[in-house]
Amino acid sequence: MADRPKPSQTAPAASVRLATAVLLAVGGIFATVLAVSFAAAVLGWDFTPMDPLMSAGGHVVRAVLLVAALVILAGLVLSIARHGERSLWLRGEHGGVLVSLAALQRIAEATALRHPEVVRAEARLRERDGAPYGSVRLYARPLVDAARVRGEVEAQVRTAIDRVTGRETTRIAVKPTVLRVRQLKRYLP
Amino acid sequence: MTDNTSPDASTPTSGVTISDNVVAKVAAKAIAGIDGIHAVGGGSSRALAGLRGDKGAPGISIDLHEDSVDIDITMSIVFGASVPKIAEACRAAVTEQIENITGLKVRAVNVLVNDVVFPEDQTGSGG
Repeated sequence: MADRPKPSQTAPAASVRLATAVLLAVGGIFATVLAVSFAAAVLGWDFTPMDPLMSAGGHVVRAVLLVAALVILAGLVLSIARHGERSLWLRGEHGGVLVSLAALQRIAEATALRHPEVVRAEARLRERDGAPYGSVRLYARPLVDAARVRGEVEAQVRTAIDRVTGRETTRIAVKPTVLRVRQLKRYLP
Repeated sequence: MTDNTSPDASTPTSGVTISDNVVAKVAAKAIAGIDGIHAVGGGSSRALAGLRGDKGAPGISIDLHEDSVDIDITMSIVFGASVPKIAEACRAAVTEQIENITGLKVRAVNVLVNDVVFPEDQTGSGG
């Protein structure tokens, strides 16, 4: 269908909804504080809600708190702004399919973990030209042949994702790390 | 979901108005039972609908035009299912039901997959 646009995006994840709610709440509190300050100034009241905030702790504490708050707010804004990028649009004749890349990452990780030599898998997928691409970092048991595990997992992951998308376009790079015996405990689920 | 309504273009003197909520419910009924779908709508949208006592169709968005309709269906799928096959099954079922019941022409059915559910998740959540 030529004139049907891609849907805006998949439904936002709980984290994105939470980030939006936090940002709205912070914005509301800031606007309220500002309004109370202005109202007090206009009416000639000897009151400002900023006084208790500005007198708490020393300069260093306040500076650290302010920087921490700014970092958190920047993170929230980034998570909301990047939400729309995290999906794969598979165009069809009468509508299409929009797949969350997070869902594909879960499939990639679960498929990799089904390999008996893999103890942990971390997938990072992106979309380019309507196809998923990315990498899967593997942590394999000690003494295994990394090249063999990489080849086997790569084929399995590509097959699993291609099955979901219905297209053989997945480009996956598998990066295995063979653990040492003393590292194994830390990586086991 | 917006609360648009669409007058039926085939009855110029005595228009029929169809609420998008009705179209959404028909679509929800049409896709019930299709293999590979774990749930329609995101978890939070279903929870909100439950809190509101909403008997509508969470996860189904309707875009009504004069005599046609675009439908977006958000869903989670079962691990191992083929999304194109699910999408095609949804498209066929929704198109047939909506065109039969409402007379509206279905222009597009978009499927939005926001999660994949593994068998071990299902045993924990009870499906």
